[in-house]
Amino acid sequence: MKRIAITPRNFWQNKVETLGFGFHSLEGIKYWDESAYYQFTYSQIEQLEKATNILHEMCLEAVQYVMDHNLYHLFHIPASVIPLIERSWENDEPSLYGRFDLAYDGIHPPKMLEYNADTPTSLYEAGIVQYFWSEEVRRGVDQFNSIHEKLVDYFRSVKPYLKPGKIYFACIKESLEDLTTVEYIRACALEAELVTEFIYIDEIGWDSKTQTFVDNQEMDMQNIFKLYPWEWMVNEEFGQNLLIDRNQTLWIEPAWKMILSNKAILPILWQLFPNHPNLLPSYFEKPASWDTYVAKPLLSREGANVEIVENGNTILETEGEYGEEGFIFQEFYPLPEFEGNYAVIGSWVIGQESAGIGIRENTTLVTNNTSRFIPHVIV
Amino acid sequence: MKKSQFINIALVVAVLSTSACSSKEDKSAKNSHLYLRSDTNAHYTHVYHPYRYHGFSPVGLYFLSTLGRPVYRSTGYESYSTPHSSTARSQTISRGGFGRSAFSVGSGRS
Repeated sequence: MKRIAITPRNFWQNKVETLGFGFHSLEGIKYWDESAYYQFTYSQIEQLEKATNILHEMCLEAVQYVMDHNLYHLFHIPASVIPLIERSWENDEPSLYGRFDLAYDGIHPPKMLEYNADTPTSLYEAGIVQYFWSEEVRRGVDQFNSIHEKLVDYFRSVKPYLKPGKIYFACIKESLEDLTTVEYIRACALEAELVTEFIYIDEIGWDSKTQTFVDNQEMDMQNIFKLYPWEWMVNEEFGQNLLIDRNQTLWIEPAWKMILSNKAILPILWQLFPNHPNLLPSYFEKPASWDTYVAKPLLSREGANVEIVENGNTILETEGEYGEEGFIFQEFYPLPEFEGNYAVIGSWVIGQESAGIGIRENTTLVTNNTSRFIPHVIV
Repeated sequence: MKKSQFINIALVVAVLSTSACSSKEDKSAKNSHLYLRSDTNAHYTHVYHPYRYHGFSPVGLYFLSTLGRPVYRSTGYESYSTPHSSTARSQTISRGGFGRSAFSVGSGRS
C-alpha cells in the first residue's frame, strides 16, 4: 500500500462535475483530492475483501445474538421499536449496503473501526467518480470497485421481494451530498428496471385514517429507501406511526440495521469473537488497566465526540453533540500515516458481499467532515 | 437479514456479478444511460438514454459520446414545485414529521 503524489488533471473540477459530482469541494476545502492516489497489490485487496466478508458475516451473527439475548438496552434502543426491528429481521427485509471503516496499513490484518450500516455515504465517489478518474489517469489499471454492478444486481435480485408499487427514495432537503447519493442509488434501481420516485423525507405523509404513509399524490408508499438514520426516525414523534403502519412498509435499510450502526455492536462483536484478527478489543466499561484507548459515542457522525487517550493523556478530542446515550471504549489503533496523512479504508458491502473501497484521509487521527476522498488503483 | 437469506443472496450475486476487481470490464457501457439526476419532485417514468439531469440549479442532459465519455449539455435553469394533491383524503394527511432531526448524514461521510 503506497501513497503516490501526482498532478491533478487539468480542469479536474469540470471533469468531476460532468459526472454529476457537485460536492467535490466543501466550503472551499477540497473533498475530492486527486493530487495523490493509493496503490495496492492484489494480495492486499484480497485481504481487504476477505476481511470485509468475514466482518459482515460476524455482524449478522451478532445481530441474532442481540435479539436472542434481548440486549437492546445496551444500544439505548427504545423498547417500543423492538417489534419493528425483529419483524424486519424475521421477514428478511432487503438490505442494500453498508460501509466498514477499516484501519489498514497494507501489512497487518485490517481492523474494524466501525460499521456504517444504516446511512453510509461516499458511495457515489467510490463507485463512479474514482472509476472514471482511473479510466483517464491510469487506464488499464485495476481498481477494487464493483460497486455499481453490485448495486444494480442487488436491485434486480430483490425485485420479487418488494411490496406492490414504486420504490421511493428519500433524503433531507438542502444537502447536495445526500441528494447525490440517493439519486445515484435510484439510478441503479432504474437500471434494474424498478419503478422509482424521489421524495424529500419531510414530504412523506401519514394518513391517520388509513394509517399508511403516503406520497405527494396521496398514494400509499410501501417501499422506501431512506438516507435518514433510523435513530432519528424512531425518536421523532412522527416515527410512532412506523409501529402502526398498516402496510408494514419496507424501509431500506431495514430497521435491524439500528443494531449494526450503533457502536454498541463493537463490544458485542469482541465478546462473541474474542481476539479475532479483524476486530479491536472493545468494551462498554473502560478496563481499569487501560490508559490508552478511544472513547466513542454509541451514536455519532462526522467523527464527533471522539476522545483519544494515550498514556492517560487526551491527545485528541473532537467536538459534537453526541454522547448522551453513552460511550464504548475501543483499543487505540492509529490509522496508518502516509506523509502526514492518515488514511481510513471505507470498505463497501453491497447485497451482502464485499464490493469495493473508497479511501479518505485527514491530517488528524479522526476522520471527519474535513477528510478528503483519494482514489486508488491495484497493480 | 437472516443467515439463510444471506447465503442465498450471496450466491445469486456471485453468479450475477463479475470479479470484485472489475475495472477491466467495460463499465462505461453499463452506465450508458445515466450518471445522476439530482432532485426533483418531477415524476419519473422509464425513460432511458439520454437522461435528463435535474441539478439544484443547472439543468441539462448527460449522455455518453461515441468514445464512451460522459458529456453534459446544459439546457439552462429550471425550478420545480411540489405538486401536492388536494382531495378529501388530504384532510387526514399530515406531513413534515420526518426530517426534524435533520442535518446531512453525508457531511461527514458517515
